[in-house]
Amino acid sequence: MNVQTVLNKVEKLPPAPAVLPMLLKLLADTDSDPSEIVGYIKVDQSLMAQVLKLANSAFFGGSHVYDLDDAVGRIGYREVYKLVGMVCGKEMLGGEIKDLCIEDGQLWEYSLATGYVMELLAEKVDVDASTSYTIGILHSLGKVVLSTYKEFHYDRVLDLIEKRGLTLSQAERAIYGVTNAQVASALLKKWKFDESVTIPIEYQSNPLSAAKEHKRMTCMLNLSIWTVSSLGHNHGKDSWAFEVSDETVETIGLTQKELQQFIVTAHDKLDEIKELLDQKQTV
Amino acid sequence: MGGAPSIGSIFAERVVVGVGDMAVSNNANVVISTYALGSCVGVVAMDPKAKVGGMLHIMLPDSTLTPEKAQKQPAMFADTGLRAFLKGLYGLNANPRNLRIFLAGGANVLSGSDFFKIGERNIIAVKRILQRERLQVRGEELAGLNNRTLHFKISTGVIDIKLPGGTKRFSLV
Repeated sequence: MNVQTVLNKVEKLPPAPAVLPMLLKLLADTDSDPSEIVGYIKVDQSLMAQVLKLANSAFFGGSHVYDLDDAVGRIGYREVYKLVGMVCGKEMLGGEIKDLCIEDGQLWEYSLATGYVMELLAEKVDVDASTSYTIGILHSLGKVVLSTYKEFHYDRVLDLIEKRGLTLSQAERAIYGVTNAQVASALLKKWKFDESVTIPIEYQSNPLSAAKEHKRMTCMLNLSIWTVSSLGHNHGKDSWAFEVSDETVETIGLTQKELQQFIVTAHDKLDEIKELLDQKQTV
Repeated sequence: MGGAPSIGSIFAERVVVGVGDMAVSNNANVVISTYALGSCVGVVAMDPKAKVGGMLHIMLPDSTLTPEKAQKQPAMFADTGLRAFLKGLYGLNANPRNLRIFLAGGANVLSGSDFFKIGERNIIAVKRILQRERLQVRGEELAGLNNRTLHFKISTGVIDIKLPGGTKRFSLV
């Protein structure tokens, strides 16, 4: 089995988020033309509704806005960027994965937490925060794809993890010759995502093998997964079947003590975000 | 009356303990829960004679990492957390000699240096403190590769431990 076979044969691929890569690229660039951004948002009705809803929430205050241009202006590019990732990500990652004992909403909660922790870590080590957030949100997409593939059975993978102490990616490769990280990366490439997103996702479980220019971001993803897992947000039977090394910490330029202190900061940040999202949802 | 809810279940009150948080109670209607213990360790304690119980959810082994945080949120660390937790239990007239303890959590990555094995370090720190306090651990569901969720009923002393794909039960009475 190889990645292309999986992508060709899989019965139900997540819906291709047509506007996502283009919109994320535009939103990441502060010199982008606002009308172009609004044009892309208008293509997706649920996205448009979410932007208007957020702009009119108590959190942003002010008089009611009906116009999408005004809504984008009020909440700002960065919030729109996060909202786009959130709307598309929730659609793709919101379901359960029975074989892995991941219940409805749990993979999404984990992906969102990873997105925010990536963003926080990026700010700490001075790396592009928006790309980091996107990588965090989308890094588990391959599990969703593989769980819908008839010839791929996660129970066999889990059995190997338990009996031989392999990591998830080692067990996936040993049985099927393909990993969920490779599948996610290939799918995102197909959807025209940039290498700055696809490479860190592909090498998330062996970050030191990533190409030099993407190594730091890949190490950040690996350590964010560890951080989010430590805080109990990584659910399912595979949640701890990965490895981390001291070299990944050195590569991102932190000391072990700083990383441990970062876990405390990440915990507080995720608590804050949970409160904020609850507020936004009740508006 | 088959299937009718008991008086206790009608008045049951759920208290959720978050990461770095704790709860103690002498109210028999209280059910204390904590969700998704990853590398964190959950400490459940009960004095069946005084009918006092509680739960602590610690995140890291040692408060010297960030003393300011430990002052604001002592339950986050094993040393300051257990001190505050035991003080809370004794404050409700629990007797250390009658205290029964259950530990859960402390999952670890499959492979990595000691630094990354926070779960293991949490377990060592908690057990060392309990030993120093001469408190005996009655049961445990520790380490390994799984997250755990705990529900503890003060009225019965029963703890339900939810793991991916199944539930285990332990009684402190």
